[in-house]
Amino acid sequence: MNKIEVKNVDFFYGNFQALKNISLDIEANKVVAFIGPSGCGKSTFIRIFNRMNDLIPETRLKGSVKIDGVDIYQKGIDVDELRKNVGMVFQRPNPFPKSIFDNVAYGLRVNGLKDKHFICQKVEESLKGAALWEEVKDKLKESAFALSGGQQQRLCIARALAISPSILLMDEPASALDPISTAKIEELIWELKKTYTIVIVTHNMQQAARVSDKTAYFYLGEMIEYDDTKIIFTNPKKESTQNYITGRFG
Amino acid sequence: MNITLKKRRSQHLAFGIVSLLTYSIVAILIIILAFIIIRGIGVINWEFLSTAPTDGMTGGGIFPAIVGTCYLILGSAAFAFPVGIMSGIYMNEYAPKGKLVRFIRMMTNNLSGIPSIVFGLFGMALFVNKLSFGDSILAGSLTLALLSLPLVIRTTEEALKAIPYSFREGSYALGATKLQTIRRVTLPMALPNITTGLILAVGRVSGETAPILFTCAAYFLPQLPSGVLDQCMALPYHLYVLATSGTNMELQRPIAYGTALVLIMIVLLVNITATVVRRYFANKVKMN
Amino acid sequence: MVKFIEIERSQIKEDVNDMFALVIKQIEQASTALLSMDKGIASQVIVFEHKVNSFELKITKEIEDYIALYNPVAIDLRFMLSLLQMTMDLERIGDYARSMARFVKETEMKELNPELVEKTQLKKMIQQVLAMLKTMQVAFTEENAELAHTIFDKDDLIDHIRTLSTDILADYMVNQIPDTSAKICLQLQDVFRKLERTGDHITNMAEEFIFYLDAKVLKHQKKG
Repeated sequence: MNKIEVKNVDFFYGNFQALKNISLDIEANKVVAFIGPSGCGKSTFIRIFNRMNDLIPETRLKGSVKIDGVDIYQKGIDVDELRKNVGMVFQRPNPFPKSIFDNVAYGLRVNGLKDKHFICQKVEESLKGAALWEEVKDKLKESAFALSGGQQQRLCIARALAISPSILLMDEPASALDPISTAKIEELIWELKKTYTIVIVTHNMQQAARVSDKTAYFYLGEMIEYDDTKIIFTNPKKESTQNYITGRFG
Repeated sequence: MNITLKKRRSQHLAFGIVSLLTYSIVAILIIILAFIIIRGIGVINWEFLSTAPTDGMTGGGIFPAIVGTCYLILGSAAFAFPVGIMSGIYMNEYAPKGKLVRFIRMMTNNLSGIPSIVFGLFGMALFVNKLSFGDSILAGSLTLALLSLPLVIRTTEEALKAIPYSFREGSYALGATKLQTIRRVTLPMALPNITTGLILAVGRVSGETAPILFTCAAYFLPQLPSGVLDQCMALPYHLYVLATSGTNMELQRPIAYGTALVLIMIVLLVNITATVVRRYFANKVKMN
Repeated sequence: MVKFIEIERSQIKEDVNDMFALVIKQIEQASTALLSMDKGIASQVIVFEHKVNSFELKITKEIEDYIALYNPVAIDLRFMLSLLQMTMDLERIGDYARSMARFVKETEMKELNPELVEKTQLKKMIQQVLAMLKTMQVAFTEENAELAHTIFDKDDLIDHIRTLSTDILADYMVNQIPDTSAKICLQLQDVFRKLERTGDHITNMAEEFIFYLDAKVLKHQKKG
């Protein structure tokens, strides 16, 4: 069974249709990249998997989105529970104005965990998972804002890992970072796919090429092509895809 | 005369007028302060601050008025802060964006435009008579609370609005509920700005005379109030009394300036505290 | 470089190295077959040629993917370009091994005229080609430019032997010595040519590899 199965999804902001009849399957422990020009719907699409779009008024979705075989848009789905299983990392690092430790512990605490020993253990584990432990282990009590941009982003990844999700959504996770930090994030993604299923939105085609196993190209709310990244970048089937990845677009 | 020179002259002229006006505002403030200080400093001593008025307001101190003002500040804060902050949170975080919120916001703004004497009359009608609190600290505090509510609501709303959406998103994405997000992320981040607003509201409340005129303030009470249903003296009202009525206006005048000085100092102190608190929080919750 | 790209890179290098080993074996086997006229070994060489070809396809695809996905620049780009060309060289060398094997398989000759073998220094030539190939492989695995430079001198001997062999074979053809018909002489001439071309391809590989390591273009120049 595929980790994520999307069937005939339409998505609307009021009267505007942002996604048109999208179907795709994502296998477990794979990295899938969504690419496409601004406004193509890729960011809207990634937010469907943790129902982040629910927060925007007057949006609606048609079709079915299944995670582990369960339709996440059916009645009776606990959205907070869903978001525990589907972690998300955003474009700009957004650590909370708290200590490094409290940032990582946040997700555990809001989910009602109180056991100090367990929280400490989980924080360490998550920071290690996000390849940040060595850099911050001596200053866990310091403000997260004291970290560099790249470190903050890895902190946000650690924060997402702490609640043990099985899927990680990344919305342009490196677009606000310098090349060295970007490389670290990419290496991290490659490590993380051993444990997690990762969906990443990126404006940077080379990034999609480097980190993903499969790539989906979006244009004007439609999914034009979805295939192995190697095929997309060497021999795309659609001319539109070819024009976009070769920079002949528009 | 060539055009460049002309341009430069009008530039200088405009600059001169603008800066002159700015400096004159500072000058006016300094003149008022100096005026009050020079006339009032003479009567200020420990006895003045710690005893009740004697000899038909011509002697003694203003201790009951200071205490009364403090009670009124605390009392109004106890009502206005929770209600105001919660309304602000509701308006910015919960209420669906639309006509309703716009209507509430307009009404709140109108509320702050109502003259304070009208608040006083309303307070008298509602709290003193209808709810039979009588002239009391409770009635006065509630009236002052109504007066400061719009300011509290607006500052809370503005403070929350200034927090980037991405922080809320980050919290929701970790499975936090809206309430948890507000309590653990949004509100702590908005706290410096909210605190500033609250302290400014306190400053406003402490200087108001009209709302307590009919609801609370006593002309003269040598003893301190013993409960919330007691009347109390208050600095602004006391100042008004000293300046407009009494047995001996000549002897009362220095005491009136002394009272004014104390009142101004309290308000100033509150404003300085606001600045310090803001700085302190702002450093603690430094945004990137 | 990001770790996972590094891994990909060494994977491709390993594949090229495997192809290298296979091609060396092919030349060795083809030479053995040639010197002993062993048709069995020759058939084996012909069968294994397919493997060489599929290696070439696989590595070319890998390099294409690598360039498309990781956009290598500078030394990484030179490495990929040199690998691409070396793979093509190896494939050609594999072809030569096969055509030598095919000659052995198809000829009616039972054994090579020993005197002819001696005179033309065929064994020496084969040894030299194998030595060059093996040196090149070591230079490749160790990324050793100095070692790669030694290839150029070795090639001179091969060219020399080949030039001599033409005269000798021409003599044999003219004098109609038994066991060495004109046809066989021509075919042998072709074998010498193939060996000489092998040497050229190894030289090319050395040039390409030095281009990767030192960014020096040695093609079409007098080698020092």
